Amino acid sequence: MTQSKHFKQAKRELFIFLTGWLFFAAWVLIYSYYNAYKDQNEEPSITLGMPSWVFWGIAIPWICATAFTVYISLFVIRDQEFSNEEEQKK
Amino acid sequence: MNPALVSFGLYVLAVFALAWIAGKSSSKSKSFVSEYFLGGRALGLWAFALTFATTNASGGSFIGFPAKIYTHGWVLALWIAGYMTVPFIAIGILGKRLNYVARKVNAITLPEVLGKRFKSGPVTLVATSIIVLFMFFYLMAQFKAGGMILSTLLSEEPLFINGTEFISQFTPDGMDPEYLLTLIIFSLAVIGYVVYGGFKAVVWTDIMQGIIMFLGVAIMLILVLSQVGGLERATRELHKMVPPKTCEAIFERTPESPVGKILIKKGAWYKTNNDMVFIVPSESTIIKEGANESSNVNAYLYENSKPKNLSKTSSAQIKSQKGYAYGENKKGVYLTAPGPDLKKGTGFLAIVTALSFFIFWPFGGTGQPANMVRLMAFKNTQTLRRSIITVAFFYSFIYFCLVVIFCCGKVLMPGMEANADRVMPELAALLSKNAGMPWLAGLLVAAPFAAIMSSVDSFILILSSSLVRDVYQRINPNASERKLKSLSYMITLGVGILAVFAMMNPPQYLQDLIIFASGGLAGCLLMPMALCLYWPRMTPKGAIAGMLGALIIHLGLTIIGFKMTGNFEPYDLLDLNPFIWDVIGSAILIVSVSLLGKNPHQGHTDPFFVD
Repeated sequence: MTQSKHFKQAKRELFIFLTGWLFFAAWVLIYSYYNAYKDQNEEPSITLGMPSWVFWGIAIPWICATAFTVYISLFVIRDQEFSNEEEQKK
Repeated sequence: MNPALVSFGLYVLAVFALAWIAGKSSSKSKSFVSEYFLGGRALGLWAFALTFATTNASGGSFIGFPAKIYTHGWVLALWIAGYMTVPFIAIGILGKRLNYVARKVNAITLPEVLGKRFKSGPVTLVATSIIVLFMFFYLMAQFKAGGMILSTLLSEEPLFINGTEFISQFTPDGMDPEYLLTLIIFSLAVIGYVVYGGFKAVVWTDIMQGIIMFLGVAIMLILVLSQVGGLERATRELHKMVPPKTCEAIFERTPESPVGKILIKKGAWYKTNNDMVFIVPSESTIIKEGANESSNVNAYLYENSKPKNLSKTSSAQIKSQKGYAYGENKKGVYLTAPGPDLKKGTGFLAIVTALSFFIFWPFGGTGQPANMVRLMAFKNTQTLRRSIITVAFFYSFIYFCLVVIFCCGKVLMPGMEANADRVMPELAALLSKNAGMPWLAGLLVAAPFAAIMSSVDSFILILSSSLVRDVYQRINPNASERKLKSLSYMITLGVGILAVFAMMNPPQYLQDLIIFASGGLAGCLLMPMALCLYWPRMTPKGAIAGMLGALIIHLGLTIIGFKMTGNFEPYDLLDLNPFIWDVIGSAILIVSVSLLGKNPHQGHTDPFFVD
């Protein structure tokens, strides 16, 4: 069975999506594990108005994830012609 | 008339107008079923992006999520962080493949895609049954949430009060006439436009609802930051706060108390004889007339709180205080993980639970039928690519800003832990009042209402499309367009009415029902659908084993959880969300059963994998 170009391209894109997810999951969870689960009884550590761990562990990766989303949408996902069965029959 | 109600009414009228226009344009189409249930597969950028985004953001995003932020603090940023990957996972993984094959085999519903992939009636039937089962639970919960928001807006309107009195004559004992009336109003509104306009009406109204949600969050953000004195000030104030204690308050008359009955108001602040401040959260009570009368109520005790409006009508004492299981007297607990928790000694969000939510949001979103149906409806791949970007900005803005808004809201409006589900409409009302623009509350309350409507309308349509296309059309493949049209209207109406009847006496654990249903849908359908599109070796028996296996795991974990806690909450094996176990079990079963069976017929797989 020769796989269609569409299917092969979809598999390549799937690999990139899953790698992206793994990268951001690792960033957020590892950073938060070491920095968010600390007591702040005295002076709180604040960056741009939010707790520092939220800034470096959530806000910055969120911005990077959005940039990554823009990049893959513009340059990785390929355009493809769509047709349906009725058109094919015609 | 209440200005908030006027602006809210204008919003609802605009929704109807849009649905009416959509219904008019739909009726001109030749292929009724495709047009009614899938909008003719012609959704452009804004339509696809906003209908996807708003359907995914249900009432939970604007009621349950704010309540959690308010109760547990900044740790909710970690809880929701998985949303940063939702656009490229939930749209990207299945979007192009699903749309491509659905067009190729002319499928309109998800069970139909599965059925055509395997040329198997039982696969379609199992998928349809799972969708109908779980989606009905989900729909019920959204109807209840819609009724709750309406009652916030209408409860003091004379017309509504008269209506409640009228309807109470016909209401059976144990049923709340006010809730019943709001449920009827909400249902008439949503069912009306869905039945009339079908998918197109749902999408068009979703666009407007998406804009309302965006504007609502933007305005609330500006108001809350200006009224609290900036984010840094709010975070520093939050740092000083410690969780309240639950207690029992005993109210007694004093020589200064007024003669006659004394009302102890729900939601009012009181002070004890030794200056401890507490709030009576959920029940109003009355101290009767007579020298020695007293009254006991459950209350929340706050340290370091200085409320502006203290009620001074009686003397009060506090007894049997009980602190949070995690976070009692712990300064800074609202700024850090795991966050305070009333019951769990390990705190609100252990790191393993955070991991399970980072998996659940994107992959659970991918497996939701309402999302997958939308992936079958976009026009072309350019639309898909631009929509992923639009949804990414939409979610980033909405979810992160909600965390900021309600962390600030906690500082601005303390004392709502016991009624945290009402924090969104209450904060909207407070911000609008402080800003001198009471009409704005209507617009702000329209945001969660829009979120609920956009989920309810999509789910009604999924249910009715499954019944029309996957059940009726399978039995009567040669049914005429006219017959299908009238049947589609009738079934859509019937599904809506059935949900209303089911919700007349709503179950106690509503939020748990939502989690049960959405987790179940995604757990049962994600792997069968993903592998059906990406793994040619998958067999129909594998698909059925995967769906039923996930169903059994999901129900099993829920039953174990119920037996262990007495509540309708699933058992989190190894602290992981049940959805993850559903998906793992489903994947193992699909792969093993498929590999043990014969290779699937090449004629069946070719349309999906070969040009």
